[in-house]
Amino acid sequence: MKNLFSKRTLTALALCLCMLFSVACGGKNGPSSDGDWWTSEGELVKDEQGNVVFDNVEVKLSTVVSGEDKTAFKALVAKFNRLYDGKINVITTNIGAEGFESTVSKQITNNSNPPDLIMSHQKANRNFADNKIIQPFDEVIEQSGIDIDPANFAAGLAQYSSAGYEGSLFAVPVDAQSIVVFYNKQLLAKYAQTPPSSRAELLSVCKAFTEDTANAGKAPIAWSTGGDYFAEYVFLTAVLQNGGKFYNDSDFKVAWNSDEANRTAFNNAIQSFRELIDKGYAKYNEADNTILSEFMAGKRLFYFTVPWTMESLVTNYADQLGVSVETLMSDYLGGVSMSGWFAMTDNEAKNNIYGDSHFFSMSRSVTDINKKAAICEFIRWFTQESSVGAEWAKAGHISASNIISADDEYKNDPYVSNYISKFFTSIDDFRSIGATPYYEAVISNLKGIFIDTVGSSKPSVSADEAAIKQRQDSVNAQIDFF
Amino acid sequence: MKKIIVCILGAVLAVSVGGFAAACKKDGEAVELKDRAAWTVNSPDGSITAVMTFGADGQLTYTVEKDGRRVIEPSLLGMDIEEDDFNVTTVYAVNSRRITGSYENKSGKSREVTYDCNETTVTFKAWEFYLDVTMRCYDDGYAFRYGIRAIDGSSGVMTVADEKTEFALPEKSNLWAQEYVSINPLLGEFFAYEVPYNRRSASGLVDEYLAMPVLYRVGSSDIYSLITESELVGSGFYGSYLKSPSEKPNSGVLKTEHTPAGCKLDDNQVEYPFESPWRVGITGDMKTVNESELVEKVYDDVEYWKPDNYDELTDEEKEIYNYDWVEADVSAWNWLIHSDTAQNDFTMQYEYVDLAAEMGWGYTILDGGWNAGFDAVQFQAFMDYAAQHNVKVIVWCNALSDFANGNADILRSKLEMWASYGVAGIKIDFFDGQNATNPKHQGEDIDTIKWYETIYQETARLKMIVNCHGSNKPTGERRQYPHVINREAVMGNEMKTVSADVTVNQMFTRNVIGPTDFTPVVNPFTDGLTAAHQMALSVLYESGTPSMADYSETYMNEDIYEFYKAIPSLRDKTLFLSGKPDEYYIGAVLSGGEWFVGGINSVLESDVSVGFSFLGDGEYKAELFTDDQSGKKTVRTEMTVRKGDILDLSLLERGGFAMRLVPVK
Repeated sequence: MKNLFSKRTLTALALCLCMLFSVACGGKNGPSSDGDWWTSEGELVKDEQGNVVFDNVEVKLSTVVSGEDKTAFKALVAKFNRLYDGKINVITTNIGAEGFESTVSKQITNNSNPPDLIMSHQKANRNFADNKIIQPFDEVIEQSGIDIDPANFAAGLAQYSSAGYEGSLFAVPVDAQSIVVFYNKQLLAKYAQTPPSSRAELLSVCKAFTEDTANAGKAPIAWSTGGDYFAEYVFLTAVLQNGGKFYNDSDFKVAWNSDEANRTAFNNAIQSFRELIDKGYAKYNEADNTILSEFMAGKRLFYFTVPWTMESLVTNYADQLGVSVETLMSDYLGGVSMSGWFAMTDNEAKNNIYGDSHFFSMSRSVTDINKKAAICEFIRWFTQESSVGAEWAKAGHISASNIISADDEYKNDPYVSNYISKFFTSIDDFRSIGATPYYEAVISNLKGIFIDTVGSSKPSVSADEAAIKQRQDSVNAQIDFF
Repeated sequence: MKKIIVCILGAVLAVSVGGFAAACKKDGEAVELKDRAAWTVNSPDGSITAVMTFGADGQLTYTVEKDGRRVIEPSLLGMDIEEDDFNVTTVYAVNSRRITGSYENKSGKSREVTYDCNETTVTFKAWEFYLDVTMRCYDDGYAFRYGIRAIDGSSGVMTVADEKTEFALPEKSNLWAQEYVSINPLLGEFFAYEVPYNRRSASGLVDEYLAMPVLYRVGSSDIYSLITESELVGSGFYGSYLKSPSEKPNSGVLKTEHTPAGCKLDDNQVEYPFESPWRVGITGDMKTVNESELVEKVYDDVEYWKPDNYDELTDEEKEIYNYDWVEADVSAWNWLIHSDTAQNDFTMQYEYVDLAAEMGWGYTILDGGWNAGFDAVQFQAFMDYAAQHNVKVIVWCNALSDFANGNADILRSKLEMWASYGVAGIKIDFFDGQNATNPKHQGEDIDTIKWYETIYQETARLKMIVNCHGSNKPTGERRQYPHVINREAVMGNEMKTVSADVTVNQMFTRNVIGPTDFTPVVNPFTDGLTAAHQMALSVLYESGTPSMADYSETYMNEDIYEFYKAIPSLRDKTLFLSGKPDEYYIGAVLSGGEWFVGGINSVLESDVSVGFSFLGDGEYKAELFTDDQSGKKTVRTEMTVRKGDILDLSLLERGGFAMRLVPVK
């Protein structure tokens, strides 16, 4: 038992389940069956055209955006506030991912300076809804006429809009992000015509790179496996690309080893890394500042990094080379998708990319119908204005909005056309953790498998399987225990 | 038991002194209690009026009006100490006076400043202590403070239970403020005033801490008021924040509270006799508020600090304390480009001495990491080289961890050592407690404020200037310590991704109250600020040692070379020309007969006009720098400008412009 429950995972799970006093399996019907936990007061003021008239409505927004992309987000909010001067004013608080859900839940539960609008990762929404932290948008959308329709968002993300309450709109998808890959265009041109779009092509170009004596001692792939997001985003991508399933949709239990197909998928995912490392195409545990320096010095072919550093990477690289950003984009620095790169077999999921996705949701503490409408107006602006989508893309986020994605201003933005659209060739291939309430346990143990196996100094298939089984049993034991 | 007796006596006293029966009824109707007394203070020009009212309930409140419009609604005044009960007092004395005078700045918005106000001090007598409440009205605002002294004239330590001061903002007021949030909540309470000033609705505030200064617009009028504190250093008090009290949600009331950004428990032991920091409300139209130096004017004719043994010093030693050695000048600063790891690369550091010498700038800064692997011979050679090129050297240090978390002996010995090499100043960082191991105080705890004072005094003895970094807000300290010439406490370029809405709002808030070390560059890091916006910032943010932060070779570009050679540090005058929070800011600086104009735009394109009514007679040769289409580079245009001319400009999103105007002889 001691091996199965670390203090940290127990604490995380306990916290998660404290929030969950009404978790049910699978989808639920509308929340009113349980009794609505939200109310609405006041009446909307509308002009002659039927548009809502806003008068100095203040909206407090808590967002999990807290990295380098925080500045871009705040600048967008500042722009909104200017455009809606005297009508709506959005106040932003950035809270780090580690404490985001507990902080926001506590604020709303205790009615202690609660946010009105929440911008969280997708995985939080189910717990928020089950814990009656958030309320649905349906009523205010109907009354205000502000059009926010899940059909206008990428289907793979919009499926989570109900947060498990079928027929209700609890959460609005904003974007998607994962680890992204830059490549050196001039270096690649020596070994391939085009960037690799499959495992075979990746291996081929890496082989050519390593066989070139000019690159002696250097691995073509520069990645920092110890980085904050690498194990989560890239390893889970590899699991997906090999046909793996994270959990069972009905009871949320995991079968990473006990299910034969899944066991094969997990083994293949591990082998997909091990092969690259064994062949000298990549190394385990390189320091990010070292590999970035080498990449920018033209000594590495591919560089894996988080997307929200994109703008600073581009500007710093251009500065270092003494070229304009435009020249850098056209001649030196490319973006490529890791779709297919970890798929050891040809399968339906080979192009999947795993990552996080931001969603907007509304706190149950909001009762004023005018404030609810103001929240909807902000969400509409953020998810339907193409210039907003382009600015947000520059901070590393592909838009989840079909309206933005279809707009030429967005498509032609240099950061979108050169990078974002290359990193994520199809947002329909994007996957997040989904609606399991046990996401903390699932993700942390999947990351643990990567470290236990790919990071092992004495790798073997039997050791891999033992590690996978131990992690699987740990998650299931926690689910059973609670 | 004592408290109960005090309450009963208080009630009796309230009745007997006021002569009114509380809660009694006459013919079945409630009788309204009348105030015991009220005192009115008017500004010299009569536009600002503060009224202090001693209510029938024993509460002291105040209001402020500007041109007959309420700027502060009835708000509490007073302090609670554990050693006495100021809720039960009698009026002991009332003194009024007019205070006028002038002084000269060694750095600041203007070379010469005059001050003029009316002041009334009401002394309340409690059981063992007097409470003095001093209210002043200037033409550009109001200020008040508290004094507490023992009736028997003794000195000692008291426990401050609460400062009751409130600022009740009028209905429908919007404000611009920094919301308090620890930079690392998992490790503690750290705040160095480096977050944006956000617009808030005063009535939307519930149970939130706001850092000072707080700027607000009075309802929908054109009157603004900026609340902050002054003369904190030397007061023996903690730094204060404003909080919307949880018991008065959505009321627009802001109450003074102990800084949340400290680490000391029960940080309320204060020596008496005591004079609190000033609570200042700079008030008027935007031009008045923005140009005001009220934070520093409240010091009246204060003398520069001298040590207690001043009279025993030699004449040469005494000369130190005329502070003639304090020189405002531009500084080269390479940390932003070269980072910590390169600071002990003296080959690189020589390059920035050369830059400063070439540009005629007076200083260069060796930032964090400069003394890693310290080599005394190498360092002395560097210092000699800098001296030969008339460039003074400022070195970085950590306010807490470099000095055993506040050990004055270690401070003294390190400063003496650095001074022995010829170091001319320190850039002292991390007062907020970051990077300190188990500090006993941090942020604006009482002992940290005292630590600032120790640092200012020890550096003065050695004729070293001080640039406070990772610090608290300025509170007028350069009136007593004119060598404290620069200060961070601003979201500056070190964040690299600072955006235009932030820089614009800081001009209306943070830059009003004291030196602001933004560290502008020439070539923007990101799209957050354009090239011309960055250039304008080198003019707009007031600082005694404005730090120029780009690559040395960047300044050699012939288009910008002369402009940056002429960048002002010592200002004769600073003017607000136009602007609005959240939108744009345009200001002008007079320095050595030349005018500099800077304009910065927020997040939407703007068309602006610059009126040159402030110029003297005759023609001025002007060079104008605007953004190219991309915002990455500036475009230089020459023109001739006369007093009264108007220049229309279209500013890019996050764009700006900068001008230098030289009179044609």
